[in-house]
Amino acid sequence: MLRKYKIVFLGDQGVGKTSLITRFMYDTFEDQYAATIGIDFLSKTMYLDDKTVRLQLWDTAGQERFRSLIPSYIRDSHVAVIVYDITSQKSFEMVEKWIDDVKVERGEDVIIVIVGNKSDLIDKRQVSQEDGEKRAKLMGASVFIETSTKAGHNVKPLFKKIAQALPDFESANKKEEEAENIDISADVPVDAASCQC
Amino acid sequence: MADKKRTPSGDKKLNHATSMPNLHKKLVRPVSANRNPDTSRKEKELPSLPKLRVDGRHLSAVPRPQTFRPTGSGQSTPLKTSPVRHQPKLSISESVDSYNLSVIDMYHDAASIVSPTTDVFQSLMKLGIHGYEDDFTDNYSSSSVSVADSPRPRVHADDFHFTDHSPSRPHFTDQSLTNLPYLFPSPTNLLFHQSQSNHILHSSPGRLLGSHSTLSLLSSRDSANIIRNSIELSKTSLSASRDRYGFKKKSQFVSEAAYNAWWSDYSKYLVRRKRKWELLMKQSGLTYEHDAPVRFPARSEKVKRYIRKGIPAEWRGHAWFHYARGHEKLAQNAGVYDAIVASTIDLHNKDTEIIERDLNRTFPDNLHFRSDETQQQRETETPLVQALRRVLVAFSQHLPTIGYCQSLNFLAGMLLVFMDEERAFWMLVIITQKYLPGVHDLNLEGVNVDQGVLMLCIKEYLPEMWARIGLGLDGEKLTDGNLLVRLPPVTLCTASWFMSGFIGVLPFETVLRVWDCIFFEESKTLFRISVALFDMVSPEVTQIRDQMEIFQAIQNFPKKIINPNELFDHCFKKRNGIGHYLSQEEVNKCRDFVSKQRRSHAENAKMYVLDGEGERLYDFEHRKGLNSVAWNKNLTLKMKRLRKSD
Repeated sequence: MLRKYKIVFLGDQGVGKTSLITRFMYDTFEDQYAATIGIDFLSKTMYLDDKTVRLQLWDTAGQERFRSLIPSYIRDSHVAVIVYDITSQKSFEMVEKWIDDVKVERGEDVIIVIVGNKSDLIDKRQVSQEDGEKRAKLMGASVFIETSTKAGHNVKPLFKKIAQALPDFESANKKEEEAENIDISADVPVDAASCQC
Repeated sequence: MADKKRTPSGDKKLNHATSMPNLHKKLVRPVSANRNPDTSRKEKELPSLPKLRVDGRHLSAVPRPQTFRPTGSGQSTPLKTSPVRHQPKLSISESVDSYNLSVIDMYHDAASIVSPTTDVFQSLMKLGIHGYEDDFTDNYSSSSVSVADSPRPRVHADDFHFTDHSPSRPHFTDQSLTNLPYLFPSPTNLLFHQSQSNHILHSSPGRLLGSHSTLSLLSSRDSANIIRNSIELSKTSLSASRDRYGFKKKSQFVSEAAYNAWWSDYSKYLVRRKRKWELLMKQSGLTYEHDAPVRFPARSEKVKRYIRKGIPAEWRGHAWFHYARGHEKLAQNAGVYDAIVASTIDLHNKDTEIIERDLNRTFPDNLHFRSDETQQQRETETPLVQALRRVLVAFSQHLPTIGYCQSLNFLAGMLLVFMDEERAFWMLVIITQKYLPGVHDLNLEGVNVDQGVLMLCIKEYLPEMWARIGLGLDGEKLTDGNLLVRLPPVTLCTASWFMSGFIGVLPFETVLRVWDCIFFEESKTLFRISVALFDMVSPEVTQIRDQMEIFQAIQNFPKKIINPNELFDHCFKKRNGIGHYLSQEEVNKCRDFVSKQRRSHAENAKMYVLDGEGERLYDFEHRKGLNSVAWNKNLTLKMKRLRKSD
């Protein structure tokens, strides 16, 4: 039986949510993606060790005013991936706000993943990896990772970590068990065989 | 064939006279005797569209006469609409006033104008950049306004863009007229001109020209257009992977082969439609000289039918502007756009910051928004992107209740492909006020209201579809009492249909056809098209169980509708075509209803609950007998008759 999990991608405009999803889905990258209006929905089956899961990805518009449209999607998601741009301190500051939004809808009953994207832009970096990690711990995120969708760096590991963090629904018990905290360090070996990307 | 069909309409309120019938008449020019529209129009020659007249390219930029005034004069006295006398030659030293008075005729006498574009064009001709030297130069060298229809080879996106350019020509100040080398490049200084402008771009990548005066702003705007045009010309690489607007033909859902296969048929359809339009123009006593009419037939059932079948692409900008009553808006606001642009040139705020981030994310797959040649070119802003910035920033200042909302970038970008930036600006104002009221507001309430209306329409007209989508997130049935507040999940997908006017939702050519209708038939078009889309996707959806997969099917389905006629035939089909049900009055009433319901819910945190089973959430007109709307229609007709008999 194929388990389906809903994952919502949140974060400021232009941080690379669409890019991240596109890299995961099709392993492609373009310099510019058209701005996402409203919500885009994509799904992909992922094979992980002994599990097969179907990930349903919600790509959202980043502009603040679109937040009013998003709550119900958050409410329905198992995982909230909050993305910021390591070259933009401002987008990093907003992470907290996005997490608040998530918690209002889901309480603690959601896996929070924080992603610092555009890690290839070393010269323009404004947010250090340490700061990212610290903030992630503080916010109770299950996963923190830095990615570069341009270089294709850490994207597969990100989704592998997400899949590993997913609650196992095997038991008939409706109550989802607490997701295990997994190693928060970003230095994870890339395991290309982990999913069929 | 689609164009043989006569679709009866449920819309009975379209016979309004045009807003300015008198002006209209006075501007009409007799059809020239030497015109022979059909002789040389053989389809076999043309796998593609439109015949563009080079000289038409200026004409297309002619706003209504009222708007002509020198920017520098301070006064924006509208020009009287009396026929203006022809002054065939205008020397550059002539006064602004004479420029002003003769301006209409100037544009009708292409050879007599010193036009920047003429020069650029000729320059490029001489430089051998373009492939159709003979055709173009012939038109140019002729001093008469010849409208003979010689067969033309393919017309490309790049050509097409010439219908839209030089927005600020009417605003030349006397100073700018003397600023010839800058505005009117000769073959030799063209390159200099480009490099100079490029220098400007590079030196202030974010905003144009820093704290320069209005004058230099206008010059820069003009030069931006010149560059834009020349870029487009030199870019006539006829790359087969691009469509005529500069978009990539291939999308995630449509292969290039599928595009080409469809286009080879559709382009013939377009040629046929164009001929019909030309005939219609003649019958309406209107000219389409230089293939750039600025006046269009008065509203009628016939015109409506024609518009549903598509406005010729090269007439589109002006036709949209005309039917959306852009001329009135522009006339009431002469000079306003320039003033806003000048005052916002150094503006930095939250909106401009977001705009900056969206500029490069507006049509990144379009050549004119993002060049794909070299890395350097990719990093250089195209003139269209610069115009987009000005329009969006100006808009955010002009309508602070909206400011900037993502999706406006697509609306404005689309407009800029078809018209100059001042018109694009006012069209954006009209769209956000008239056709999509409140949709882009800070709280996006307008879009929620419209989604409520759409859901009511689906519930009413497509009950089977409603059974599939009218569910909450957990699959629970939404009750009449809460469905307008807790909109079904699918509305997040359909919200973007409204916000961006189907841009990015339907393939580009199909979007254009929808927009043709919107500006003529108003916002009901958005609902009709949406319901038609739901109807079309319903066979697919009935196969699916999972809510999310249904969502995905509805999201992706429109992206495959490469053939606009498929959608329009479905929407306006004779039997049960949704296009015949939903009137504008109905949409307006329904919008009011939904809006009130949502407001009262927000105020009382509880929804108006219906008592009886038999009572309906909203009574659609077709369920009722003679209702107030029908009565009002009768009354209106009676009043019209009375007025006529006076």
